[in-house]
Amino acid sequence: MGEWGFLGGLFDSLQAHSPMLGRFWLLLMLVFRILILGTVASDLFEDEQEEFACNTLQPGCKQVCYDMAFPISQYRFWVFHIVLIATPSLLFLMYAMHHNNKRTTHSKFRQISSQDYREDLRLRRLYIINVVFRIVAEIGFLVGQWLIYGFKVEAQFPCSRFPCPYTVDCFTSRPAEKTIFLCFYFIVGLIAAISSCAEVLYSSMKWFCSSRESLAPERSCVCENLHNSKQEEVEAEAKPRGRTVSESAASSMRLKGGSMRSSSSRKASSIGHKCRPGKYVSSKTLMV
Amino acid sequence: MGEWGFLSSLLDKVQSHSSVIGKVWLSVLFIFRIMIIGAGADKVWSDEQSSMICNTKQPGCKNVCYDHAFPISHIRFWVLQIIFVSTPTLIYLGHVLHVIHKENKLREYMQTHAGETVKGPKYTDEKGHVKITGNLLGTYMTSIVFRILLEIAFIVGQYYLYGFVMDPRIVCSRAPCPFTVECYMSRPTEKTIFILFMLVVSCISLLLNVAEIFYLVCSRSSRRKAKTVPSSAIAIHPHFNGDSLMKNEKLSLHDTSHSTA
Repeated sequence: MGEWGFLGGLFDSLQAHSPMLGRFWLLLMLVFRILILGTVASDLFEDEQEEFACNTLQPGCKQVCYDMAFPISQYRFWVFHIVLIATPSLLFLMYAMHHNNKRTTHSKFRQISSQDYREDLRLRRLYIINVVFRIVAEIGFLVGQWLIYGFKVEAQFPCSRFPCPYTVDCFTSRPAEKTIFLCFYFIVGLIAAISSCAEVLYSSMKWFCSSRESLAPERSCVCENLHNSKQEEVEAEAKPRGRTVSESAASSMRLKGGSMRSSSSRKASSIGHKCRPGKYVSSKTLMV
Repeated sequence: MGEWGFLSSLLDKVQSHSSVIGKVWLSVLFIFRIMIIGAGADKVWSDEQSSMICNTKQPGCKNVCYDHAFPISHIRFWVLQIIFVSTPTLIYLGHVLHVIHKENKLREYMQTHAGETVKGPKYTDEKGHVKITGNLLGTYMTSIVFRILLEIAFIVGQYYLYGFVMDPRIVCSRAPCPFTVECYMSRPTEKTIFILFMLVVSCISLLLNVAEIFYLVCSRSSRRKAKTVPSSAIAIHPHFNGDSLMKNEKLSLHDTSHSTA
């Protein structure tokens, strides 16, 4: 399934804008969900209806019983799950990029202003809101999965829907394997929800509690980071678009110590990354 | 299977921060596991259930017998194995990137505050090459240990689930099958070949991990031995005390150590 490539690319660019816990969540999403879904689950659920057998020759009975047993296939449910859970993060990413473009077209002067701080603060608030929505979506889908499927896929499914004669026994395909993956996705969802909660608590504590207590010394360090990142920007390509991103990135980098990563480069070890030409790089320093 | 691209790109990043044996292990993972699963093994197991035949017409019997014989298909099992075995490495990658970021910040700080005496960056050098020492080495070795444990767990798990040889005949007596029926799986020999191949690759990976642990431990202890200065040397230069000599030794050894990558 090549369709996941698009979402994967977006997640890659999101990775450069997330704190450490956010990256852990992205790792969960990419590796444990999308990868599993694309490689494994598609084959697993491919023959779900063909192999669904009912002990009756009554035409149409198998179809209606399959429909009753699986109103939505787990596979499609997980596709929805991934897309809807990714939506808050992607909206945040789009907003941040759009805002950077807008800002840099308006302000050509490189001065640290209080507006930058307000902007920084707003971005952080939006990130927290994004994570909160993500948590709500995760928990919602966990509850939904439990309500629709439970934790076990039964091998045998008694069905008495018209046109089946009285009650017939239908047998699902690969119930044990599906149970394993149902539990697997549930556990991954649980871990993702917990890590998102931890991210919210940690980030709010770092950004909002400490910033209210000591604004002055923080400002000097933030100024420093902004200066450094500005110099790098000038050295690199002087792409105005990325500046505000890297400013707010630099200030938040100091606070949360997330590692800087550029999505366009594949080798992350070189210091020269920051100065590497390529507007994508300069705009990809940490945003939040 | 384009979805392996995510994992591949992440593991590519780790390659530059691994030791020599670690790089070999990653190559083995890519070529002999991921590629084989994507290129060959998929097709062998694709008709696993549809081609299974049971000598009964009882509806549902084939489904339950297949389910009883193969609670999880080999392909899915191997994919889970690859993912779980790669996970400690990805966590190590996170630590490396975190360390690189912090040291970059430290360098910037040192450049702007040239006069201040500040502890220098420990892991990276000017070219950006990362030395695996200290905490980083600890994380690296922990990740290898977990890799070893997971590999062993998966090999043992595979043995207990299926054994290593596929018998064409499956005997099944699960409801609704009438008494005992015989079912016949599709392509047992081909599957046996793939199973043995993947088993050998898992064992090679396991041995590589064990060798890497020994390699790191030996290189670390040889570094430590070279660090200790004989007491006669201290006596010759009375104005040096042992501490400063040790410190100089440590710094120069860190610069020239090539035990990493």
